[in-house]
Amino acid sequence: MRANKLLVVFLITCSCLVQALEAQDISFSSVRVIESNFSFPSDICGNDKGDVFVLDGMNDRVVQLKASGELVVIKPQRESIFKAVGIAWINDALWIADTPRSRLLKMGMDGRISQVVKLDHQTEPVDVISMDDNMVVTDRRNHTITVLDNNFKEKYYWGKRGDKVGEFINPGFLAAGPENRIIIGDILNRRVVSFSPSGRYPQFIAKQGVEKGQIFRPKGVALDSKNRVWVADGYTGAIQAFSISGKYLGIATNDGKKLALSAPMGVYIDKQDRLWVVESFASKVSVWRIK
Amino acid sequence: MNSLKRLFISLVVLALCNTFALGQHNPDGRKVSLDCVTCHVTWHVNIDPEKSLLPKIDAPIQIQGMPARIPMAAMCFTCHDGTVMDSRQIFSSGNHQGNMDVKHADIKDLPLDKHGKIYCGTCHTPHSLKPTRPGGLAPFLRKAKINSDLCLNCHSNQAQNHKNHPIKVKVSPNNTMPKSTFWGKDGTMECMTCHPIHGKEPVNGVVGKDRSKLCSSCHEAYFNVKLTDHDLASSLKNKTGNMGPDFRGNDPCAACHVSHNGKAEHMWAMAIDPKAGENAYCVGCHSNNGLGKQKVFTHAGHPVSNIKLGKNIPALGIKAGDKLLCKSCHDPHQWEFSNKHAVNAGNEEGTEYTSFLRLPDDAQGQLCVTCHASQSSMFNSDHSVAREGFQQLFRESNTLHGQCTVCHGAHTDALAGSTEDDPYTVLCMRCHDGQHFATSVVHNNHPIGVPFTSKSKLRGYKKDGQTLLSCNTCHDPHKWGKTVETSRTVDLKGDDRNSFLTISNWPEPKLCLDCHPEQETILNTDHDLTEADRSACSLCHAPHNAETQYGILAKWGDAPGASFNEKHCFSCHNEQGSASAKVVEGYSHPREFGILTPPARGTGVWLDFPLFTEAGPSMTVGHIDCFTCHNPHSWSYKPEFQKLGLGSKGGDDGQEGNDLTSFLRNPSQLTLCTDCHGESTLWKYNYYHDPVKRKRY
Repeated sequence: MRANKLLVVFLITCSCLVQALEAQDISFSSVRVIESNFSFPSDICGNDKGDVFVLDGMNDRVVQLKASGELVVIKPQRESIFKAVGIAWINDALWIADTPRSRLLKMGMDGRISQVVKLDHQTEPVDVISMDDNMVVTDRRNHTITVLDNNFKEKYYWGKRGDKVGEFINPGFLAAGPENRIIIGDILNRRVVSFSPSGRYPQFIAKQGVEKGQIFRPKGVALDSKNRVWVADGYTGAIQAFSISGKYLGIATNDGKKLALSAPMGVYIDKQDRLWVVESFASKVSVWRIK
Repeated sequence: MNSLKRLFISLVVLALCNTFALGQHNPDGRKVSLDCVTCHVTWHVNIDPEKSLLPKIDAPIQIQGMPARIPMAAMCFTCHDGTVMDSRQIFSSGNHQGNMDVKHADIKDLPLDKHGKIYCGTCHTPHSLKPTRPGGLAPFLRKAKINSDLCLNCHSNQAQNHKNHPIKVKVSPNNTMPKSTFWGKDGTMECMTCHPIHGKEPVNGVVGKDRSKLCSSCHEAYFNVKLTDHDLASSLKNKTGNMGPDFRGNDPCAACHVSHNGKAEHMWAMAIDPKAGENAYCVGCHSNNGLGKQKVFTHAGHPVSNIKLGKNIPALGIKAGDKLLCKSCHDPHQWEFSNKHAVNAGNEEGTEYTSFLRLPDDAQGQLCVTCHASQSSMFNSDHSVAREGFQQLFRESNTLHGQCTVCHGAHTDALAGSTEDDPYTVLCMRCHDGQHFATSVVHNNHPIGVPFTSKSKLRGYKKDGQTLLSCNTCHDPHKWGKTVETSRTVDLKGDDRNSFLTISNWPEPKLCLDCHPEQETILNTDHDLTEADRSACSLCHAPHNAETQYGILAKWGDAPGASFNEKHCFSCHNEQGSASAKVVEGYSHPREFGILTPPARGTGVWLDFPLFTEAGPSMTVGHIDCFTCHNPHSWSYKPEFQKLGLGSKGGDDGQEGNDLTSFLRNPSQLTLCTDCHGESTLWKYNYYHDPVKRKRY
C-alpha cells in the first residue's frame, strides 16, 4: 500500500515534469499594429483571399484589412448591427453575431444585409462558425451551443448553465477543429473544451488557472497550420497553445517576455500562420508572426 | 491483484486531479464557489506568485503575497466586453471611469483607490444584493440610483434646493428626452436623468457649453427666449459679464441659469442682493450699471412692492395671496405674447404686444384687466384706443399704444409722460385740445387747479398739501356711464347720465351738489328744469365750452338783454322761451353811473348786492344786473320758504311770487337802493319791472 502511494506521487511528479519539459515558450515577432479609430473591437475573421475583417463593436461597423494592406471601412445599413460581438467568414460571406438583437446577419462588402436569421429562445449569439453545412452559435444568455441547419433553422442545441461536463457558463468564441471538433471557450468556467458536432464526446483542451498551461478568461480560439489551438486569455493577456487533445504546447513570447496583450478577444490565424489579435481594451489589432 | 487494482484507481484519480481543478478556498480556508474565483483570482489553491501570469497591478491590498485583485476597470472589462455582459458603451464613455479628480466631491462612505480616486468599485460591488432580490440595487450598486442616493453621496452640495436644478420632481410626459433617459420612481427626475453617469458626455445631449438641447427637452416654452434681448448669448454675444456668466457660448439658458450651485434661487447665475426680494432677479440687470441698463427699472409707474393679490389670476399664473412682482406681468422667456418665436435681440423697442408681457395691452387691455377688471367698461367707450381720435393721435406721433398704456406708464410716472403739477389735465388735454378728434374743452370750462370741498371726497391732484380740482375730480375716464351697457358708445355726445362722470349728475345733480351743496335750493323750484337727460344745473351751466367763464353759463343764443346775465335770463324769460309766463318787460338800471359794491363800501360781502360790468362780476364798481337782486338758485331768501314744496313753485303753477320769494336775493331793505333813491326807493323798487308804471316817474 505504501509502495502504491509512493508510485502515485512519482507518477504525478513525472506527469508534471513531462508536461513542463515538452512545453516551451514560443517566440513571436510583431508584424504590425492596426489602429483605425476602433472602439472596443471584439472579433476578427478572414477569407481565402487574405482579407481580414475586424468587427469594430462600439462603432457598429466592420473594418476590412485587405491583403494589399489597404484598410476599408464597411458601414452596414443604417443601424443594422448594434453592439455585435462575433464575426465569421462563412461560405464566401461575412456573418455577424448581432448579439443583443438575437440575430445572425449576412453582410455584403457594401454593408448591405442580405440575410437576417432570427434565433429562437432569445438567444444572444456571441460567435458563429460553420461546421459541415451547419452553423454553430454560442449563446451567452442561455449558456448553450445551438446548431442551425443549412436553412438556418435550429437543428438542436446542448448545454445549460453549470460547471459540469457538457455545461457552460457563458460560452464565447468558437473555432472549427480537425475531425469536425467544435472548440469552445467556456469563459466563466475558465476552460476550453471541444465537442463533436452533435455535442458529444467532450475533450478539455485548457483548464482554469493563472499559470502557464492554464486559462482564466478564455476568449478567442484559433488553429494554425499545425493544428495547434491558440487561446487568448482576456484576463492575463497571454496567448497560449494547446494540442487538440489538451496538451499544453507553450506560451507566446516576444523578446523573451510573454505577450501581455490588452484584454485580447478574437484571434485569427491566416494562411501564413500570422496571428491576428483583437486587443479590445486598447482598441487595436496586433499582428504577430510565429518565429 | 488488489494492489494492481488500487494502482489503477490511483492513476485514474491522478488523471482526474490533473484534469480538473481541485477546488478553491479563500484566505481563511473556507471553500468558495467558482463564482467567487471569477474575480478573486488569487483564491486558486495552487497559485504560485512566481509562476503566475497575472499582470502586475498597483493594488493597495496584498493577499497571499500578491496584489489583491480589486475590481479595476481592466478586470471588469474581461467579462463586460460583450461576451458575458456588454458594458463597452460605459467603458467607451470615459465618464466616471476612474482616474477622476474628486476634489469637487464630498465622498462620504464609498471606497476609493489608494490614490484617492474613484474606480469601478467605488460605486459597484458584486457583493450587494442581487438586483432581483428585494433591496437589491441594479447594477450591483452600493447605493440606490433610483432616488439619486448614490450620486448625492458625493455630490450633496449640488442638490441644495433652488440653487440647483430640482430632483425628485415629476416631469411632463411631453418631454422630448431620449428614450434611454433614466427616470426615477414614478417618472421623477433624478440626477441621472440629465447625467448619464457613463455617457459619452457628462450631461445628456450636451456638447461643450450649449445645453440648449437638454434644457429644451423639458422646458420647451422657455426656449422662446432664444434670439430675444434676454438671450444674452445672442444679444451680448462675445462679451463676458462682470457678474459671472459667460456669453460666449450659444446657450440661451446659461447666462441667467446654472444647473448647479447658483448664486441665488432659480439657479441664478449672477449674484444678487438677497434682501431685494424676488424682483432683484430683474432689477439686478435693469439697473443703471446692469446689463439691461437700457431699460432701467425705477420705482415710478405701477407699484410692485408689498402688494398682495387678492384673487387667482390663471392667465398670469397668479394665486390669491401672491405678491405682485415683475414676473406677474412679464414672462422673461417670451418676447411677444402671440408669437412664441418672435425675436428682438437687437434691442428693439417694445410695444404693448411685445416687451415680454404675459398678455398684451391691446384694445381690450387684456393684461391690465386681469387685475383691474372694473376698468374694462372703458374699452367700448369713446375712450377706446380703437376710436378715430386715438388713431389720429397715434398717426401724428408715429406711436402705437395699448388701451391702458396710452394714458398710464407702467414704468414711468403714474400718467404717461406727465411732469406737470396737474398730470390729469395735461393728459386729457393731449386729446381734448381742440386739435384732435376728441371733444374740445379749451374755452370757458369749470375752473381747475382750485381748492374745493367735496362731500364725497372727490379726487383731484395734490399740491402743497391741498387737493386741487382737476379733470379727474368730475370725470372717471374709465366709465362712460354707471353700467357697462351704457358704456357702449361710439362718438356719442354725453349728458348728465354719462360723460365719464365720477358721480351721476342725473336726475339729481349729485355731482354738482357734491361741491356746491348750497345750490340744492334750486331743486323743485320753477328754475329746476330737470329734463330727460339734463339735470337742474345743466340748463344754465355748461362745465365746458360755456358762453362765459364767469358762472360757466350755458350758451344763450341771440336772446335780448344788455348784459350777459340779462341775455342768459331772457333766453328763457321771453315770449317764446320756456319761461314765457314771466317775461320781464321792464328792467335795466341806468348805466351812466357806477355803483360801489358792498365790499367797496365796507358794508358787507359781494353777494349781498353783486354788481357786474360787461366783463363779468365786479368787486368794486359795477352795474345792477339780474343777479344783483335775484338768486336763481333759491326761491326765497327766507329759509322757511326754501324748503321743498313750500311755496317754491311760482309762475305758471299758480303760485305767484312776492317780496319774500320770487328768487329775490335779499329783502329790499338790505339792498343798497336807499343810498341813492332815499324815500322813493320802495316805490321805485315795486315798479322796477313794470315798464308802464316806471314811465310815470
